Amino acid sequence: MPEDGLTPAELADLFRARCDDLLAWFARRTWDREAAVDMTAETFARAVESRARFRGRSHGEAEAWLFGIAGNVLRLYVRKGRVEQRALRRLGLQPPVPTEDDLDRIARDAGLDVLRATIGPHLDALPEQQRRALRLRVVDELSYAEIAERTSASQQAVRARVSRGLRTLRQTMANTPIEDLV
Amino acid sequence: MTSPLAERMTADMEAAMAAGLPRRRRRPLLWAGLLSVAVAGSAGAAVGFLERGSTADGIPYEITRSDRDGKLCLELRFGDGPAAYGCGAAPTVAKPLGLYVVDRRAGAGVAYGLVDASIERVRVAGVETAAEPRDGLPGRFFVVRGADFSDVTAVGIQADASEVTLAGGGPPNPKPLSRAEAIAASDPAGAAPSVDMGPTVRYRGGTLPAAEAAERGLACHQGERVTRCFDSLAELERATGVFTPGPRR
Repeated sequence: MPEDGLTPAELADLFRARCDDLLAWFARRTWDREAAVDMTAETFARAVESRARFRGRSHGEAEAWLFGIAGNVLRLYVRKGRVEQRALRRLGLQPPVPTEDDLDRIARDAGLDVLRATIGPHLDALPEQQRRALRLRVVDELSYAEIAERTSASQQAVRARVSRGLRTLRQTMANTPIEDLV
Repeated sequence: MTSPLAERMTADMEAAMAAGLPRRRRRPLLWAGLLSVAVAGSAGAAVGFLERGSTADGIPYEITRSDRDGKLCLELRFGDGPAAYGCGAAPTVAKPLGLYVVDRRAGAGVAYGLVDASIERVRVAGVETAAEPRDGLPGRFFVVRGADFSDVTAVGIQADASEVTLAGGGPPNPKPLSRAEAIAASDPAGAAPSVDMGPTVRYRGGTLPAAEAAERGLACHQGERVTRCFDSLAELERATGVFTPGPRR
């Protein structure tokens, strides 16, 4: 691996190797598999744009760099309540359309069923709005549109509440097995 | 083992890298000024790349703005196949759906168009996507992929999550007589793309400028290599064996 920048072939190998991990990583943090696909695509687009600025020497550093970009994409999602797609637009791309099989695999890789079974008893630790949004989304499995209607909030606000609730749970449940899931 | 979705996403990025990265705009004010002059001088002949991606079954496509005769048009090209396009009006507050085109492919079609700035998301055939502003285009641009589009009802979703039916949703009409009637009845024919016939067509053993064929209202059939035109649909059907649904004349 060269010291300065990644070649297109190296970057494609990196994407192929870590794409499924990234999809699961985003899904665990947002409970939204479609958003996970969009955020993974945006992460890749940002990596494509900035590949010449990569200064690492190893595959491990390249993976850490990619997940660092993913962290920035996730932070924007939490702050804005929607997936940022600027880099994708600059490249003239759209996120792919996932099939039901794709979504099932993301749920399986992310361990969302385990998360659903574990999360219920810990919801009381959350602020009211986050608790309600998280219960409706994760336990009752309602869509964001349905939750927005029930709670008289915008879908963006609901997405942000779910994401923040999951983040809070990660902090409050740091010593439980769920730590690796949220 | 890498998932099919990961393979598709990687392939999209490889295609983008192969196509080259867009150049950074270092002097946006100067370029904006030059662009205004260029657009004004071209009098509606705007052409510009908008998006590339792949369908749910992995077929690459590209959408560009390709105005014709002063009309706002968007052009879609699958892989190396022929381009299809749709023309329409810019969206307005009163008519929030402007240009709307549905290119059907079995289970993996593409619907795209322009909506008013009050619409943030668009749902077609159960598939929802963001509508976003694009440089040089009025309103917001959207692309929906991955549905069979047997019903082309389009629903717009506003910032407050309220929904408004943009196209279709009306009672079924087995014999729509115009594009407007077809789209009101959710008939895909109402938003079907057009295909370039080329500069000339074949007619009565000779050739004819395509513009004249359109002006005379001839019934035309586009084959893989040539377009043949006839005086009536019945004559076209007899000559080509192609059945053309719709009103007779």
